[in-house]
Amino acid sequence: MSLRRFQKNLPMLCLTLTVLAVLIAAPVAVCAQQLNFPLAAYSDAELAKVRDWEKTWAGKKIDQSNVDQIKEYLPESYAGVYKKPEVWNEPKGFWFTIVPYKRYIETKGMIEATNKYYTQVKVDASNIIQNYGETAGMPFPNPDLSDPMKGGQQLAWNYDHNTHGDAYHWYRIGPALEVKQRTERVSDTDMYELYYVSRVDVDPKPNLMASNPKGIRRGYFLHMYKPPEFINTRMFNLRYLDYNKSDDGYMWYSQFRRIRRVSTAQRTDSIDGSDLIYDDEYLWDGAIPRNTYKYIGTKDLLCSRQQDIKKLERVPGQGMPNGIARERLNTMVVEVVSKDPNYIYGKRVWYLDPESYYIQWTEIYDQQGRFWKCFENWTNQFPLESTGEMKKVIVGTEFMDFQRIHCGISIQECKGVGLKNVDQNNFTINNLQKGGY
Amino acid sequence: MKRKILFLTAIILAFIVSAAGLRQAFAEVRLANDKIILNGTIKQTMYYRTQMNSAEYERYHKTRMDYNRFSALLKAQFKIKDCQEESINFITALKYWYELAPVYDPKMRNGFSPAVPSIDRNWYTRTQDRDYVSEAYIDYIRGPWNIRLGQQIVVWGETDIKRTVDIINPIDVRLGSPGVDAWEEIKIGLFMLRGTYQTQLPGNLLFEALYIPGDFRPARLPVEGTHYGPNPIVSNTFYPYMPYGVTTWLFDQARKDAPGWELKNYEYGLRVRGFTYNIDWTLLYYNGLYDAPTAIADTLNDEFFSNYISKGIISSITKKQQKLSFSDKKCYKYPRYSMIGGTAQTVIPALHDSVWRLEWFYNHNEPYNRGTNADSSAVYDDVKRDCFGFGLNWGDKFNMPWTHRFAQDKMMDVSLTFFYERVLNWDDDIIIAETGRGHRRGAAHSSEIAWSVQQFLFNQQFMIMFLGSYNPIGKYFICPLLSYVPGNHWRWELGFPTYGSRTPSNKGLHDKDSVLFRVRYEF
Repeated sequence: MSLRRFQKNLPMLCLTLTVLAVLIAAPVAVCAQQLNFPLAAYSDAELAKVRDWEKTWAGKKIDQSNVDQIKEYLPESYAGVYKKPEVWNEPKGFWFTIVPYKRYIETKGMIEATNKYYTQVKVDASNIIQNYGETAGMPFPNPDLSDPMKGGQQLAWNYDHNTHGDAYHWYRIGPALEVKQRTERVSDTDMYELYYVSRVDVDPKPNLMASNPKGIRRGYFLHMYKPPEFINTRMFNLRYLDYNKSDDGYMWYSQFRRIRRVSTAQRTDSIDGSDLIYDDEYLWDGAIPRNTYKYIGTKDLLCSRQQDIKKLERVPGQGMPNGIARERLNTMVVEVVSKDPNYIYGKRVWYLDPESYYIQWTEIYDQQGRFWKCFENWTNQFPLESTGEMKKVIVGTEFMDFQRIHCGISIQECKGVGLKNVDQNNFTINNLQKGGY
Repeated sequence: MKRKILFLTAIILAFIVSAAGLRQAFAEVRLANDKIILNGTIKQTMYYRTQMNSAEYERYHKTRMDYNRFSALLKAQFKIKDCQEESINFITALKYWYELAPVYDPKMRNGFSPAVPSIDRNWYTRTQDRDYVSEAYIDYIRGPWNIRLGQQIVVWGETDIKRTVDIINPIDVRLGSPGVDAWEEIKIGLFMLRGTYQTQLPGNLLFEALYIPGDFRPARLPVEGTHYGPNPIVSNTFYPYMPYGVTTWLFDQARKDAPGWELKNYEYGLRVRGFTYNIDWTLLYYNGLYDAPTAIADTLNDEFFSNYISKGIISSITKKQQKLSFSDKKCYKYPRYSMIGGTAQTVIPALHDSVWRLEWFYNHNEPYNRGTNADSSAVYDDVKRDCFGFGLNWGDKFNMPWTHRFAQDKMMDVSLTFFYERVLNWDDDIIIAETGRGHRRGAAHSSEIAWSVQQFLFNQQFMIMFLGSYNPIGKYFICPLLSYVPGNHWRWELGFPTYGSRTPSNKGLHDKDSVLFRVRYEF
């Protein structure tokens, strides 16, 4: 009887067990996917080795005398700068310190947005995102690195979707240095950045406006105080979701006293005597589809990720500040080649922070394939005004031109990140007109 | 000789200091917790004439450096209130200049009829009276409103060198010219109430209105015998018994007849700015007095004869020096006219992402004198005519193949502008050739192209520039310029402006080719 009853109820039992199994297994599976984001630079085993290395090196001052011992963790060019400071007309030499690696975990908003939207990302056969601006967070939290081209492209998209806390205000002091004369031309600029879409940290999310008919992705406003010829010159720039549409740029140039529309398409023009071109902001500031990307692998480098800019030491004319705090980081290396055959750079090599998706280092080659420039970003964490969580932002950059032995520095004081009240009127002609003296 | 050595030593010393020292300095001075912000420029500008009539040189010059000006501009912003909701600022710009050429060259100033008339020497060589204040106004910003009250300089145009619609403030070209000097130095500030209002209407329309309650200041023209002015008379039966030439008498009489500040001389302007089909445009209207004088023919002819010509005749007969006078009667007037115009600018991706700028105007009732065969010495009456014109500017950047090593591939900036204007209802007697507007005598229209090519080198420490313009009547201006900027504050410039004209009635600066040397300290 009971056997018959058991046989009769067997299908029901199987169904129940199956449902139970699914209910138990599904969250595990989801968690398994979620656990891969945010990524960590090191596995536990790798981290243990790093900690061992740090026992020897953390807290140490690295200069000309001992740079050879850690040169494998610096780009060759920068190891040379520390080894031969006389080339950079710095008789006293340069130095930096090593600090322990500290894992950075993205903000809750970024993690939630990534989990919510990454499955909605649509790409075409060339891995170009088709619904750009309709999602938020990292579009590829688990990039497919088995295919170098696809993996490289996905890492680039992740880089692109770091919205820097959605609204960021910083004050930039940027000397461009003539190394031989030890003279410098300083630019002081107040800068604002506001993301209109793909927002993750500041309400309203993910879109700033219910309707965005112009398809604005990001606004960028700057007010210059130095050099003297640019005093009170102000500019704004609007970037669009349409990859093929050039930015709109307007400038109030105080010497002409006019609001001039500026062509923003010539992005390879160098900026006011610096070693930067317009595409070099953040170490890449252009549409992702303009390049091809190839994932090369990983490289353990010393990167500045906890930089207190007040601890930087520099006298006027010095090409690179002393006191940069660098830590080990297993960066992801991506080779970037422009699709424009006449592009000013032959290629760039990005060294990406896998935890924050900032480019920590980039090496740049000219059209003849000769090594030309190497730039380094310094980052640090600041509390978001919106949630109080810590968000990593760029606090400075070193730009070095190794062909012409020329360099520049950008020291960026964070005035606020994750700001709730960045006025959209900053990005209007009226704002330029009003402050035009 | 001693003076020359001192002068050269000072320049060389400044150059050494700027090129090698002073590494840390501040671009602007901030006081009282950033509530007061000061910045400015100190400048020394010199022209060494490479072309000069030998007779003129013999008689009027001891040196070929006929222009040597020290000038300074100090701008200040006083923040009275600065908060999110509203801000109130007081903006002021003070200027000073001193022209040294007649000081160190005695032949320019000595004698009864010197190159630079003594009557105008102080007027043009140094700042006087209201000229010390270029601007001084209260600026109030609240929400979409921006109100400014006080002496201001307004820029309405888009093109750089020619003032097509940029006509609110008169210009002072006694010692400078547009394109070479900053607008603060060229334009004369006027007292006005000016306001802008940003609407939420489609096209982001921005309205602007200004009202000038009768603060009329005429344009200022260069003084005879100076670098920018007409050449001094070398041989004439009136000389050396007359203290100055015809031009000086006419210009000074016109200045004397200028109406000054009277409510009836009010001027006003309206402008709306918008954005449509990827074009930034403005539409504007202006009504005011014409900055340049128009002769009252009958009065001028009589008064000019009695106050100048008759004394010239007497002097040539008696060989005695004559004292000249000006008429108490009004010989010149500054009639009212109006203008509608507009500007447009856009970037055209299909044309190498070049920037295009357009300005156009239609002047209604613009005043002109008429003279027999358009001869300015045979004026017989004045008329009003309408006139239209435009300027079209193309600007682009190019990567030059040879600039990698010297300019880190810094792009070359190229700009080309075409100007055209035509006077309607034309009359061949209308006097226009001498006005500097580029017309051939008796021609209703004029056209001109102007260009500038600029290349920065060595991380923008050096800049080479090639400026110029050409008018089909055979008039041209060409100026290669080299600039050196060692660091934050100093700017050294060396140029060679050359001029030419095939048209006797429109010679301009045809014999004033010079080497330009300018040093600036900006803070």
